[in-house]
Amino acid sequence: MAAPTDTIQRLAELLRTTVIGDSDREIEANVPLGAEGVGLDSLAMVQFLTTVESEFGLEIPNDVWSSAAELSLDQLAHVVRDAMMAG
Amino acid sequence: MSTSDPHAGERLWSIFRRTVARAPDATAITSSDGSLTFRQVEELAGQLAELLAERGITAGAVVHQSLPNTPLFLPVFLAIRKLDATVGLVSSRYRDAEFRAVTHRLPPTAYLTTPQIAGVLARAIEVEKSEQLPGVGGQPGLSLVFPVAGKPARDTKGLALIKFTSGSTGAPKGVGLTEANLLAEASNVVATLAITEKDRILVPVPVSHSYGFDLGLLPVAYAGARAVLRRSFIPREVLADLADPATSIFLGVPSMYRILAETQVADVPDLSHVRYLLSCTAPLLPDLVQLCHERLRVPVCQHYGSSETGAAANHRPDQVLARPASVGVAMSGVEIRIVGDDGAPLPPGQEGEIVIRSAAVAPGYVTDEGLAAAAFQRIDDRLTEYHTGDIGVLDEDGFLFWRGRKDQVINVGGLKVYPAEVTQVLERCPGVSAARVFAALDPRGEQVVHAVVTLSQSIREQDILAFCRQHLADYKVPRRIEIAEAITSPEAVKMSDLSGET
Repeated sequence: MAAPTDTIQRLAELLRTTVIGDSDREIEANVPLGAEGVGLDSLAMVQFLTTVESEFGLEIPNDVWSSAAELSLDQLAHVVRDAMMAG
Repeated sequence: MSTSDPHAGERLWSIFRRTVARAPDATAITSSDGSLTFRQVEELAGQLAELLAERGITAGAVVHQSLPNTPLFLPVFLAIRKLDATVGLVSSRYRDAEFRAVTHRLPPTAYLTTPQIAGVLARAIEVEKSEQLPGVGGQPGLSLVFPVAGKPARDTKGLALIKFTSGSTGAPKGVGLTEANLLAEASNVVATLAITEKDRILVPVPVSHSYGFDLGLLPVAYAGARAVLRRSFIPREVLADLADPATSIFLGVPSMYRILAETQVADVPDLSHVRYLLSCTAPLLPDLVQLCHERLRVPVCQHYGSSETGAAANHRPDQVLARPASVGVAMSGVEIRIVGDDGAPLPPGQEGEIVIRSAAVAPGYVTDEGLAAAAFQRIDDRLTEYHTGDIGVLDEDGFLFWRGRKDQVINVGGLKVYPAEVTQVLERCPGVSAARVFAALDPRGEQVVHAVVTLSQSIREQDILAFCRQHLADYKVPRRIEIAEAITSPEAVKMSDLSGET
């Protein structure tokens, strides 16, 4: 089981390379992913979560999908860890 | 087209009650938050109407309904209409600035919304009082928020519905629709898509917007179809919904199709029972039409409409592959013409402004009298014509092709360039994730094409230009392509900022 910090780094890397398209951009782990933080719109969010599901081989629960804009990378790392433990 | 009104003297509320009477126990709405039968929708609408009446909402009031895709959406709408008050359809995705703008431009008697959005309103606008309504029928309670009375409300007499739409300038405009408009719209949609009580319409797009409301909810009230409401687009969930053999119509947007077609979200189930995979709100590129066909094995039909006109054109599934770039043929009850700069109709094959005539076309804006009044023209006691500001062309068989916005045409040495066409090519270029194309001025003061792009992988400006030269006539190829971290809104870039830099 990866420690959450590793998971956060891996998520940040996925976000940079697959959605933002800027491998140098700093992403703060504790700001929301949506418009009020990182700035992902709803479809960029779908792209990101779809990539996370396939890269980590897990299913993110539907209620997390619906509220993802308010989640930070840190919180998402916990979701990923929980989903991996459940799987 | 006949000018006799098949709905003379009718109301959606009375038609809905007949729908209920035909099959009271059939399911009207399903969602992640539960389901409602037609009888339950009617009962909830009645109970909500009583709660509203007790709080001073009466005929002539304006209630801005701002709700996400919940089962309560339709009962709330019907409750307000039952009281003969006007519904303002306000996006549940709006935030402070947009709520402020809507409230300023058309102050409602009250907002009817979720407690969460009521919290946004409390910090966005001046609130006179805010009330939590008791939950009825096991549904969560809603909030009724009365803004401090501002300037006198505009004349909304006789209007059933006001759709707020963010125009190209950004400030939300209110499109005022009559009861007759609503009924004509419902009838046009139901007739064109041949919707019956057997249909199940899958709606992951917001029903607080025109597309989701007109195609997702009106057919429920008018024809007894079932709406399957989803709060957000979750590819895995949508594929499971689509795999349900009862799902017959899907309301999508291009980016959803791109995700469904491009990402290996799951094995794609057999979708042959789905009568219409619809796509609206942005052009669907021909390569994506092809990709969807290969992966989903059901043609994706483009749909063309607006808050001002209602649903105007819809593609025919059997014609999608032959005409992938078309947005389809005129809907039932709708007439589409292409006119030149002098307003005279143009023959097939010639490009001009798209003009829509039907009984569903709004009489005009309630927030912008004068501003665009000329775009709306009353033809008789039933039909209105709207000059859309969109440029398009009709082929010999009546298929419509959308080219771009009239006010965004770039004039390059007398040749017309539509930014939308260049944007589409740029966004197909490998490495480019998004693009915006606009007019800039060269040192001589002539218009030239410029573009700003964001990248998904490292690629040089000259490689993007080479790709453009392969796919576009030389005068359409951007003079300059700026690679940016983010694409700013059109207002943020002025022509002069980029002039003389080529």
